[in-house]
Amino acid sequence: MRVAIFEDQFVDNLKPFTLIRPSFALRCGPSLLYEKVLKAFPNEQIYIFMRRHLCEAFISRMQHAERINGINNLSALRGDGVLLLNGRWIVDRGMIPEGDEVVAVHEGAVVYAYLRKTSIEKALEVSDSVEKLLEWARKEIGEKRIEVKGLINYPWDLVEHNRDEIRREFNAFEELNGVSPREFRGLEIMGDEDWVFISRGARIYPNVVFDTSDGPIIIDEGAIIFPFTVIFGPSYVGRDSWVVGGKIREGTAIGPVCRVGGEVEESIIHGYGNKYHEGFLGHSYVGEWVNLGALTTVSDLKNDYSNVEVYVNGKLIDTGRIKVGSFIGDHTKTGIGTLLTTGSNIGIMCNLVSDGRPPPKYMPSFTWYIQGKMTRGPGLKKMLETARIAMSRRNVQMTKAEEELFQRIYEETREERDKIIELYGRRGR
Amino acid sequence: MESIEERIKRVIANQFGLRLDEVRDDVRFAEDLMVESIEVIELISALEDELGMEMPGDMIHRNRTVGELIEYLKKRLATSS
Repeated sequence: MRVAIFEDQFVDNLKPFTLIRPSFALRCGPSLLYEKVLKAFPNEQIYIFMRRHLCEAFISRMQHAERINGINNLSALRGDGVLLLNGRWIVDRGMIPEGDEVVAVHEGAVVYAYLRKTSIEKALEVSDSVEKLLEWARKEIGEKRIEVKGLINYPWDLVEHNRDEIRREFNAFEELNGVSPREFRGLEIMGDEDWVFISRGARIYPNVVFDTSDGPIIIDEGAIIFPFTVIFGPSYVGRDSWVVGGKIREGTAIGPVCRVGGEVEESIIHGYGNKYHEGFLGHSYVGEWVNLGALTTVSDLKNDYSNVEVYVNGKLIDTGRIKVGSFIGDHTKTGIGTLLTTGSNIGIMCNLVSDGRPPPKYMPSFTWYIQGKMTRGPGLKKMLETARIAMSRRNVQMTKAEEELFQRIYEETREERDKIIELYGRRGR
Repeated sequence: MESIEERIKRVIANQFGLRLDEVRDDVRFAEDLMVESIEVIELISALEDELGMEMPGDMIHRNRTVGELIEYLKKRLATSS
């Protein structure tokens, strides 16, 4: 059997994160969505289907390239049965019936589909894209309506599933050869010690507390936990990340090479993020290379306890939840004391400099908010320079493909940016 | 003398820096004006001052366009008088 991970038409609902990465490269718990597929299907050939303009930048940075047998290559699917998996789905292999041809659909989206070799051959005769292949399968094989929990429709769904994913993936970490918490002098464990996994090469300073009463704690390779840190499980601290003191509350996943302090609760920091100082981050998703200045604080609960609404893709969406924080796009920076209102959606490469009031709830990509006004900032060239400096501080170079992608996205988002800057400008913001 | 409709539109125009002719009935508070919850409170307060009556905090949520809000407020004024 071959496994194909595909993006569908709902990727825009995951902006700003999917502006520069495929939907299956979003984080939920310790791993990215496609990494969960690689783990669930360790022996199958894996193919990916994604928006063409993202390919080069994604490949230039991706881990596990050796596991990927083809990108956007439909004809490579010939010759065997194919399991097609929606890249927005937190894959659950147990839900997929073995061997039966099926097109499983939830709320109008194909979650997974299995086509035998003969069906794949027929489908490929009339399909020149994965969308058309799935259309053919829906029509010819028929749809099976399923109930599924782990289909990510909006960024807050990732936050919602984060704690369960940390719990679920803990078992895989346990199989690795970790270090006993007892080897770290001054590390106090509240709760079950068996729910702590510390990778070899991680360091824990004295005066650190791990509370596993509600779930496991995973400290990945090369991570450092500095004194005066309390971590509540379920939580994950990624490879080479530092927690520099503060409270890491339950349901937090910190990706690789982050610097995190202050208070974080039920949040995902994708990777290479800085939130070094005091300030609260709750029920939020933070993209790569984001820097949250000291005392940056996110509201994740409205004063009237009503449902939080978030602007996504030009629409105000009722999240159906009372606790939702902010969604902060890659390379965005906030100045000291920045306050983000409940349900903020901040684009990529924004720069927010606080004047004491929260910026608008929706900031288009590549905008600045300075002295209480939304502006175009200094332009893309200067923004790219800043991004290159930030990346070089962690020994990473921006690739040519990434630079070209930013240039493309800058142009694609120009119209929206101009419109919203004018709209806010007319009311003095 | 200004009609109720004109008075409501003037308040909305002032709140969001719009010209009166831009405050059309089909303008949506969320999608077109990107009105935020704090601004909703400010708008309701300004309309209360203009029309001299208390208004429910969720009326912008329940009336998503300028036209719907005007119709709602006209009915409310008629009932209260």
